[in-house]
Amino acid sequence: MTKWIRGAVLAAAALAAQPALAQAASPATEGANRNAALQLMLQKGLITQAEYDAAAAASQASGTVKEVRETVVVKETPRIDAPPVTSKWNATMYGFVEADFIYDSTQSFQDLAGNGIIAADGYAAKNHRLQFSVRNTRLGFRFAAPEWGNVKSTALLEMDFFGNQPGTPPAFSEAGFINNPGFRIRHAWMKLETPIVDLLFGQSWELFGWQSYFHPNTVDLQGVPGQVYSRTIQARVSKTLKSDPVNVELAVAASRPPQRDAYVPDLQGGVKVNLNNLKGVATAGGTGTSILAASLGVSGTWRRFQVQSPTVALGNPDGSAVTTGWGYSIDALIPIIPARGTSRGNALTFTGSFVNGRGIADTYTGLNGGLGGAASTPGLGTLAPGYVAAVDPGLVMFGTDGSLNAIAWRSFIVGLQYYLPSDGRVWFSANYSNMYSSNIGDYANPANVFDRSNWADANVFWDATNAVRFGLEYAWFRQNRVNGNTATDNRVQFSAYYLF
Amino acid sequence: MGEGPGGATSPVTFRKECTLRTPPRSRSRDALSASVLLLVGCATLSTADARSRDLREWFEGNPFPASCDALWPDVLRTASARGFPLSAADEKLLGETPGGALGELVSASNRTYRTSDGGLTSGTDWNRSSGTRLRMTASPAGENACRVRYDVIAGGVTNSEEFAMGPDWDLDLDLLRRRDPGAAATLEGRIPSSR
Repeated sequence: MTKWIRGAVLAAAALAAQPALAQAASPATEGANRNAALQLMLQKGLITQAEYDAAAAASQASGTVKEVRETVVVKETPRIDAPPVTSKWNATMYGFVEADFIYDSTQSFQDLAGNGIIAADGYAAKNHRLQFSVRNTRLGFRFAAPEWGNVKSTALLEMDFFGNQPGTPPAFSEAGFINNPGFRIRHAWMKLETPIVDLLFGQSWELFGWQSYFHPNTVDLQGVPGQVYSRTIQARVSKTLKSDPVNVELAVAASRPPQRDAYVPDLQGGVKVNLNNLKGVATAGGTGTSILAASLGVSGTWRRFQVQSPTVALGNPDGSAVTTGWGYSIDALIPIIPARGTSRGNALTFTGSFVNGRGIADTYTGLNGGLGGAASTPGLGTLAPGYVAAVDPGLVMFGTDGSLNAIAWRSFIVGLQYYLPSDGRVWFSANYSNMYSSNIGDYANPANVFDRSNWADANVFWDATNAVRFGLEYAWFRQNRVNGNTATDNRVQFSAYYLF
Repeated sequence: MGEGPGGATSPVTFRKECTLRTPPRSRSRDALSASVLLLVGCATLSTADARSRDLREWFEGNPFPASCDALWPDVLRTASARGFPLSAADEKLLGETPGGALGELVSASNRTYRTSDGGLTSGTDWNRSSGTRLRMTASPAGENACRVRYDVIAGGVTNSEEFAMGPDWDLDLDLLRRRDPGAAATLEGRIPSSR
């Protein structure tokens, strides 16, 4: 506060409070002086609007000059006592407890169905399964360090209970598998936000598909069939060009190679455009509800595979076969009925993704289409003694000519979510996905692999309180084997969530 | 499915009848529907953009006539009134009773800090209805004048990712309503209404 303002304010107040003047002045002039002093104080920020109103009312009611003088003396606003922003350290815990109750019409899936194979015939196809699970319970910690110059640094750790176990039922105890789940890392990353670019190092959502912005709303444990859903270790550089109406985010990442022995990182890049003034409500999975900006994302991936040749007949077993994989994803989040203010009531949002590529099965959950190892192609011949293809199943397969071939997948998933008026605490969502592989049948017994997958679900959610949520889902899974057989599973899932 | 050769309808006939009964696909109607949807979408976006632009231009050109320190309690109250929980320190600053230690542990809020330009900044916890939180910044704009910005962060309580969604100028309008209802009403009369 400069001295001259303080002097002017006090002078004005003194003028208004001067008894001699007040006695000499008419009541109208006296009131005007008081109001002028109060208005000046308000204008200079010495009193708030509420204090001004109270003082004016009191002055008007009593008609005495004394009360105005008291207001002048007492109501000077103190300076806010705040430490400098450079001292800021912050840590936050977040997550949820989730209890899932799942019925399946076949004995095909664990609690997390993903893109697992559905039993097409036999006992498992004709009999049912009921599973209770808390493995999707999640715990996370965010850390923010004080800003250093213009550099802001944050870190995040997030875990759930889908960790590796000695085996899966029925080879391993059901009770052990379900009741004693393993803790595992979902995210572990640090981020540096600088005025030039942002840098991220560690395990996070893959840039491919701009995850998790476009994830569908479902009670089902993600990733569902046809949904790109993957986290991996990466070094990412991104830049967001911000304006009031539009944010444009550009990013490139060197991600963990899908096959370490190919010794080339998975290269990903993308651009995402957000329309900040067109906002919808979206829930990613069953828990992540937020008002989000309308958005369109395009992203791509390129990866390399190099696998030791499997047989002497196909060449030198010390030699290797090489191929590349690639993929692109186009994603959209479109508010059909936009959100109003901070309310999610009467909001309708569309989410959709289209993906096409080869050697990208690892970006989906548990997808291999039923394929075995890369050298399990029928007719390949006798493998060299002790041979093991050092690449995860489902990504690439050897042809009978010794060539290495990336498995093609094309998929789309679309969804709608509608939040009921007036507060959106109850909402409905429905999703449909479709997948197709044009070449999986070339490298496996047609009865054992599927080349088409269809999935659909319908959900209803209810936020009983700010922390407690319930969800109910019916889901339909269908897979078409290459030989023409179909396999279907019907799932009903009820889930209870405690969000913190 | 039809009843087969011995029955009234074969599968082939059934499919044929189905085809015949289906109204011919009208491309012009599809195009019209798509155009209407596109127009409605563009109109909604255009109105929202215009409102945001007008509010931004107003508040950038007309800072609040008060020092940032004097304005700050009302900045916090405006966020709180919209359902954005404040940090315990900021609640205390407003004379309210802060929540417990457990609440602080799971709160994404920040207390009020002094910025290098002499202004103030703070952050709220998640509004659990909207799944958004706010970062408030008050910057001095000359002698006893202050600009205020409410930046929206989206993502939701349980999400690992946070998304910057730019400023919400409607909250500045809320603040103006609190400080000067008459001026707020006049401003509101000049700008496009929200949805």
